[in-house]
Amino acid sequence: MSMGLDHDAIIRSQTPEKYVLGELLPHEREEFEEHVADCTICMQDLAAADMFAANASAVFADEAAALANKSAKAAGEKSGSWFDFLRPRAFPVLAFSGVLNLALLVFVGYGVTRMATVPELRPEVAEAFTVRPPARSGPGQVCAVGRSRSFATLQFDLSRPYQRYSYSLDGAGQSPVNAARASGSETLNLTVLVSGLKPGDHKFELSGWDGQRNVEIGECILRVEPGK
Amino acid sequence: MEFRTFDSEYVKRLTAGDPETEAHFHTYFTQFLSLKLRSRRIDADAAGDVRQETLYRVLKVLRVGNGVANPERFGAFVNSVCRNVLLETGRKAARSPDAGEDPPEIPDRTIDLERSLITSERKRVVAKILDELPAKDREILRMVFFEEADRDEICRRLNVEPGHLRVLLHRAKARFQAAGVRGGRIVSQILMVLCNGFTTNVTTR
Repeated sequence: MSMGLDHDAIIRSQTPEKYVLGELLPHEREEFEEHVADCTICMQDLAAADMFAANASAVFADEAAALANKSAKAAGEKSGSWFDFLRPRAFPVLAFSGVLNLALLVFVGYGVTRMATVPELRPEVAEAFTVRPPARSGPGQVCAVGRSRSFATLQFDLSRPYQRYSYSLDGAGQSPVNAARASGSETLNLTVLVSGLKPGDHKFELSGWDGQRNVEIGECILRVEPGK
Repeated sequence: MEFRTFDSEYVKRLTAGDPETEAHFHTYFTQFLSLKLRSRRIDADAAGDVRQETLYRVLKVLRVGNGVANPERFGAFVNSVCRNVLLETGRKAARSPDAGEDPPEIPDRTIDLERSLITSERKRVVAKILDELPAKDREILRMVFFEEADRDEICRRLNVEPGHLRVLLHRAKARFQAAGVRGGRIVSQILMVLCNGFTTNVTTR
């Protein structure tokens, strides 16, 4: 092949296409590369051919994959047997499980909300404490609650309302508190689930968010007594 | 990619570290070397190493070596450096096929150029071009690019002349170019970002 350095001749002879199709002999390929390295016009032409080839290959691969999927689906539908209805199917099982979980969540959430918002707590399941503010309480106000109780109600005096509240309890993590309960009131009643706590001392802290920072409102030790 | 000839000014600017020239250097020769290495069916990882080593050696020759004797043939110089790197890589692999020597210390900035060539926009344009072809021509291209079937076999099965493949690719490429798919620019931008780090690394080694 006599290419010289004439890129018009190279393009006319479709050498870039030959290169991409792998039709050049090794010495022709070397010669063409030698030219392309210094010729941006041929380089552009070669790059376009190469780019087209790469993307065409990807388009055909996508088509083949889509066809294979379709065939597999069709084959799956055709090969269904009389006993297929016994085979567990992921979608209905998961959907049913999801509905059950949602129902359970709504039920438990409703119950907890009701327990938390009832001002007169049922004595058989809850014990109530007034938690003094941090300045007066000192480090160790202990609120002892029997393990047989399901809940402890902690009452906090609020010097001011906060945008939102949250509490942390060792062994139970951190939970947000519905601020609507405290709005317009000087006290905040918190009902905390204690039935899942192990016997022993659990530090309880309540804080309020004033829009800029978290302010500590009160803390106590929630002592779960095994025999009480 | 803009048209540009290589000359002593270009080489001088590249030696001095002119950012625009460096960007062009990396974009142009990364593309060139990728094409060259792909045509030899060198796998992407090895190709990345050869590309980086080649560009590194070229810059080293310019900045701490003797420079190039013939700036007008700068591209041919890069090509010859790449050929040497390829030969050395082949020799190393032959010497110790299992445990080669330590790789060059250039950090791994390998771009999957194969992947960067293929974008959803380009695929859309190419799919349109393919859909507008006669069914037989489309099948020929499918056999060439997807099945990678033997050319003689394709010509025999579909009863076409060998030159027909080239003509098909030539026309399709022309339509692809006319569609003016963006992307070269995107690749260039990626390369520009990467080459800044690469160049810094080269100059401080």
